[in-house]
Amino acid sequence: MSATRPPRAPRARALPRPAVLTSILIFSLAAWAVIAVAWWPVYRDDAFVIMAAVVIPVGCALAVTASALRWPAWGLMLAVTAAIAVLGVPLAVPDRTVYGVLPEPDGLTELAAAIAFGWRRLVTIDLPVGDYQSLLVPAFVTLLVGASATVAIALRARRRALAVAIPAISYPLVLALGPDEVRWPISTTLGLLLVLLLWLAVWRRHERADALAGSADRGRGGAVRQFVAAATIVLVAGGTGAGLIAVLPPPDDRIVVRSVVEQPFNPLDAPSPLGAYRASFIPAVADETAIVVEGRAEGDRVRVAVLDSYDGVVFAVGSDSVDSASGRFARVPARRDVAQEEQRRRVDITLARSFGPWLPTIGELVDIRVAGDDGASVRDRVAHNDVTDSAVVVGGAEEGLTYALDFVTDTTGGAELSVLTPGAQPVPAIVAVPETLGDWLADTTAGLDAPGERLEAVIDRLAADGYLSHGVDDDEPPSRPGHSLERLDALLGEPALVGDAEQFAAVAALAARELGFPSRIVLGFVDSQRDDGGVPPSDPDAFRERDLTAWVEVGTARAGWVPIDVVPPRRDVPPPESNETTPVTRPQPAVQPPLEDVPPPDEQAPPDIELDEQPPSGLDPLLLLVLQIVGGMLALVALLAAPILVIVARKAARRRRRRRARDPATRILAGWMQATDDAVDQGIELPPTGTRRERALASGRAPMLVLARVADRAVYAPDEPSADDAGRVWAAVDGARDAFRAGATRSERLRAAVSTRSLRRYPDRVRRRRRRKAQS
Amino acid sequence: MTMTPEQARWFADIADRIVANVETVLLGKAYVVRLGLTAMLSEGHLLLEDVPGTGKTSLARALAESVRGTTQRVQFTPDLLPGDITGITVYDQRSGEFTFHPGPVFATIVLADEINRASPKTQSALLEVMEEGYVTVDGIRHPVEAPFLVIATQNPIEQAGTYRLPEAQLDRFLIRTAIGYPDHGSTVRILSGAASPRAAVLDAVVELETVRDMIDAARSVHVDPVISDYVARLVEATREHADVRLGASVRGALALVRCAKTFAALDGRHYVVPDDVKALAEPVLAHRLVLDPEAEFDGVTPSAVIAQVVLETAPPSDRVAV
Repeated sequence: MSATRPPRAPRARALPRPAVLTSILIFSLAAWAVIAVAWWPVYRDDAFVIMAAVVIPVGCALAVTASALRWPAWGLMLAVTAAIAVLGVPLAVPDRTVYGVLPEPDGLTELAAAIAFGWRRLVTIDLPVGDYQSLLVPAFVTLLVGASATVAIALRARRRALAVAIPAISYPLVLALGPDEVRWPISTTLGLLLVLLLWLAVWRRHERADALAGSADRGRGGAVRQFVAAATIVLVAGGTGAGLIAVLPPPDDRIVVRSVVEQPFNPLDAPSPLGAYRASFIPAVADETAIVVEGRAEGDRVRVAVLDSYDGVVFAVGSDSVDSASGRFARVPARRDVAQEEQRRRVDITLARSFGPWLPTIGELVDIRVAGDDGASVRDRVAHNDVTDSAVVVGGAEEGLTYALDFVTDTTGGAELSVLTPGAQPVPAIVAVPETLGDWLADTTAGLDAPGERLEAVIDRLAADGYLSHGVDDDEPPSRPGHSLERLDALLGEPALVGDAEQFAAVAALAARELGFPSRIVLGFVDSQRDDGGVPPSDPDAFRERDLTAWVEVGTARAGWVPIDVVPPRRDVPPPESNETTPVTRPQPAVQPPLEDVPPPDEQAPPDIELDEQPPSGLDPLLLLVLQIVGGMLALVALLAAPILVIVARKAARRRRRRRARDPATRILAGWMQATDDAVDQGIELPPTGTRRERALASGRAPMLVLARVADRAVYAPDEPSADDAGRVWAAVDGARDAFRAGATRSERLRAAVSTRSLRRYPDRVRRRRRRKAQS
Repeated sequence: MTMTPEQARWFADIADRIVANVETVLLGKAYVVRLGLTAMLSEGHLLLEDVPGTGKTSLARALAESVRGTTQRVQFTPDLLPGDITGITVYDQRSGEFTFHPGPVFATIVLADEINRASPKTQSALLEVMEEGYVTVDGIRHPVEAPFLVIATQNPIEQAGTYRLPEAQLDRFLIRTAIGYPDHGSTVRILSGAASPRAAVLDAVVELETVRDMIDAARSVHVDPVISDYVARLVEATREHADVRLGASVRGALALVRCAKTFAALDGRHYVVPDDVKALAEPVLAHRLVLDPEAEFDGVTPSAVIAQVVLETAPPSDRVAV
């Protein structure tokens, strides 16, 4: 005999009724649309709009589907993860797709990396970022996960109203990731507040309707009423906020994550040091001491900056268009481990002038100790690039900076150029080369096959045909600064190559690239390239401005990076041929020679803004700061407390108005209404369509039954009640409230005081008002 | 002239004594007793749809004894003739005249047991007396004495060989309800001998004259216009309900107001409140509804329809916005 299986309990509905589901979707979409608007200042790109327009509905749809199909929570998480994998690359990393739809393998890798690290990158990059690389991923993940979590909680959680916490928490986080300008937050904050309040109001209404299980009294007046109530609170809060904004001085910036996150060093933020090379030869500064290096050995090359990318205008450190490891500088928290530790040497360097962010070094850096009171601070800001063996001070190295440098140098000795073969050192691709370079190279290297021999021929020709001239003195032959394509074409088009280290190094580096050698330009100082200029140095440890030079390093297979000096010796330029040089009318290079009276550019020096930031008044700055902080906190507290104060004041006014009703019958009825409102505020659910007796029974309080009977008599009996009856009713109302206060905890009393439940009028009142209006 | 609060208290006091007296026989059925009293004081009649052995006869007899009235029990059978109910005219040879011999319908409370087993003709004869308050034999009217209450019963289980009361005749009953089985506690008390063994031994607590005064007083209970509006909305809602083919009639609405007035007086009030209407909506209106056959097939009952209508129709509430 088989056992009879117990009947299966009916399963709860997977989804709420259509009206509730519709409201959940509408308000979720609206809330996350507002948050997407908050993201907008970060991106400001069509790709973001498309991504947001797709991903928010998808997130909502996933949550609804998971709920409809009764997936467990982990099932929804898997679905969201799958959505990220499928949609992430096309929407958030659009450059890594095939036909704009199919993700490339690299795209998936980039997506995964961006999920983990995109947040930090987003706060360490200038805004807006558009669809640059994979920076759309943080917004993509936020909107998708947030929208799905919001809808999922709204559909699944026991306390469904908690769903509003997701957008409420996400919104300030999104603002924190945004720009520090005061823009958008007021409108978006009010918008989100309005959406969430309306959602809560509608939610409450649905819950009450559900509790009635099909009550017909679900008039639309309730929605209007709740909308008005919510809008009133929003208007009060918004008005208070607007008033405070009008009264208080507006802050210049707001504090966001990027305000406190130290931005990484981007060498492209600084001008090309090679482009400013000619400024060192202005007569007014040429003989000034630029740097003092004590303890160096002969042949030590002081490296200021290493430039390995060329965009047709200037050589730069790193590149913003091609991947370049030379542009990434990492902090040097401790001494670096090097292969030839036993050959470590130390020099003491003093910067007689600022080199901007560039920190002169020698060889391969091992350790650095900065002297001075702020030495530790400067030391913390030192960053190093392993690829180019160059260093920077984030924020700029000040004039007078003194530091001890531990380093090792390559002691393998010089290499014979003719036997060198190209190495495989990674360098950024060259975007363009001068048109004449090809012919010039072909002419120079004719008959030579070995790369080393061809490179040697190039260097020899530069030495043979080159004439050094900075073009700044009257007795020097004309020599325009710059190393753009136009300038180099003009240089190579002449039989006598007149220029200085800037042009010769650029030509040599580009020629080496054409010959297959990785190459880069190093700006720095080296004894063999001192420009005496007829004035011997008074301090052999010092380098003058005019001693600044540039050389080329070529990547070789056996000898690694090999430095090559390319500046020809100073000599007279042969007289020009009959055809005089035609004035050049083509566009000038981006970097022009500085004026004689203008000191060398120092873009990395901190802007002199202190004067502008001085407080205008005579108040103590500290006191002013304290006042601003306290005032801001008070304003914030007032803003947050405004809705609560409005609620308490409105309820007190209502109670007073009821107690002072014009006739005893009205006062009795008002007393009953006050008693029910008190009960509602205390968390008691009263049937909105019940009779007074039913509501009193639902309250579970005996005095309410008496009040209900008295109120019924006042309303339905033919005789008028007396004033004493009204007084007794109000005494009972006050007694009921006092009894609640005596038996409730402090938090319960507080919740009852600020509860808005009683302010949402009962549907029957609204219906009656509509009926009276229709009758009138 | 409307009832005064003092009259209401007097009314409620007497009603409480009657109910308490009947309850000594019918344990735990105060609500049904009050409904029966409501029907009697509202000059209406009571239809009990109940299984045998629930105390229908005891209710009739106890109620009659409590008001010092008479009671008659008629077991309706298919061969029962109208004359067996109303009475007949017999020729008297000594006087050479026809004399009227009253039937069992001439009593304070008539228990028409299993009314649906009689032929429609016999049913109609009884229903005519219930509606008109008199019997017409050979062209002569013979009025029944007030108070006059017919408690008819129907067995909802055995329907074979019965003549179901048509809707128009069901409408003549003011209230339809069921006594039902007593709860466990009452059953134990009955078995323990707490209930009086026979209703006939009850002492009267009021005279018939007092009952007549109560009937007059019940008519004067105040009904606020909003209560009438509420009743009208309830009745209209029964007509608009999707599962109802024929809703409550105006007679039903009048019956509801009449019963509500008596029910309020039973509670010591000289005015009707919405709770009176709610409490009586089902017993007064449910048997007047004709459901849609499909809904009936789906298991919808008139009581469920009335419950839904009452739930969905908001009672009048606060008159002023304060």
